[in-house]
Amino acid sequence: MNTQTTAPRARGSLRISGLTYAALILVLFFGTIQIAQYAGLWSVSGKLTPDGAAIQLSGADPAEVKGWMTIESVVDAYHVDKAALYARFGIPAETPSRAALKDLEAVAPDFSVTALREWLIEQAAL
Amino acid sequence: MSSTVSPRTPTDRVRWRRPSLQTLRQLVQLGVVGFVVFVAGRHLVLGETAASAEAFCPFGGLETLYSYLTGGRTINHTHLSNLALFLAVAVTTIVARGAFCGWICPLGTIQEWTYAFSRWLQRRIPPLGRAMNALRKSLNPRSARGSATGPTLGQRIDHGLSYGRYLVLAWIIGGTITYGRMVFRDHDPWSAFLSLAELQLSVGTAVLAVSLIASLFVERAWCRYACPLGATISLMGRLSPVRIERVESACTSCGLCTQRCPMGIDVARADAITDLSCITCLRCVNECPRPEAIDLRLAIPGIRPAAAPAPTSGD
Repeated sequence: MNTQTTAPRARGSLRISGLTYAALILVLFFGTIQIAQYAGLWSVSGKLTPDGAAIQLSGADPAEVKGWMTIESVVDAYHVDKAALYARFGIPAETPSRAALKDLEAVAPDFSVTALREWLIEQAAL
Repeated sequence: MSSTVSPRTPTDRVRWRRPSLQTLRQLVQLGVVGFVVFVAGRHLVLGETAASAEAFCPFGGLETLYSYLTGGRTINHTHLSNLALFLAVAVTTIVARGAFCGWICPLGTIQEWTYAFSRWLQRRIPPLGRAMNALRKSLNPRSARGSATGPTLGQRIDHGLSYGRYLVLAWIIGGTITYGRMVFRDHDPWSAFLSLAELQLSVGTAVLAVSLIASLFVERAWCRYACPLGATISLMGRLSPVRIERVESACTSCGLCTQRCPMGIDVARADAITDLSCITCLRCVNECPRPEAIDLRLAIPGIRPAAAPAPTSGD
């Protein structure tokens, strides 16, 4: 670090050259990301675990239901009646069970992933 | 050909520093924007099998932080990468102040390009240039009319709007904790920008359009008045020991530093730039005709202040 002095100052300080500062920024920012990746704090998709394995619904906690999951996967994991689910949210009967949850809002105005989670909790309590 | 090497003068140093450092900063910005465009393009072509550019947004990390700390889960549309990026922004900010905004943030870069385009237009359309000069004078803190008349209307508006980003931040944090979802996503201009290629329009698209139009008139308008990540960085940056310092005795009060500041800080009237909105782009340092008058410094308690060389005549 450049320590050139310039003028009287209220308190001691070291001059930082622009290039040193630029290097510091890049090392701090990208270095932290690199360390996070080594530590396993890195995943760019909700479909994969940090280890790269596909995420599977456990059926234990509705909070793990995500918009990219399909009707089929939810029905299978939570053991709910598909017809009851369609009826509860007004999903057209011709909608394939492989449809992603996030696409259902366009065909069923009552549907949202949050509402589905709440309904799954209710079903589990029955 | 003479082989005499003359001593390096302050002016030489400015000539060397100005293009190199700002060019380096712009290259870093260009690299980050290029990376984001690459990721967004790959997602567009490959679909769900490729990572979304949203996975690389540090603000998503702040939005999901509470959920992750309390429940070990990220909220919808966020991933561990968002948390890691927010951590990287926090570390960078605590050490190097607002460097993320000035050197890395792609939305800030796009606003800088928009303002540069505006300046290019102003040079080619004189009436537009004159009108913009009048606006700049009204907003410039150096053009205050004195204690009798107070700040101009433009300065009052600029100052009032500068609190907007803290309100936006409070709304997002409160809403995200209360509802457990990203309340800001539909209004987020960056998310809207990433969705443009997929022709998805939202409230955020309108916010993006307004921000870019505003950036034609006021540099980094979104950063100044509404950016919640900028507000977070401002607050965290208070912990940083790095800051720009000005030496009154060496300063000629030319006001160039204030004019060049993209965040409208009155650099020429401050001893140390502790303004929360400083993005440490170092334009003020690079533009100063007297290199000894302003510098980036690391404050270290216990180090004895040193004396300065006396200003030379003719500078």
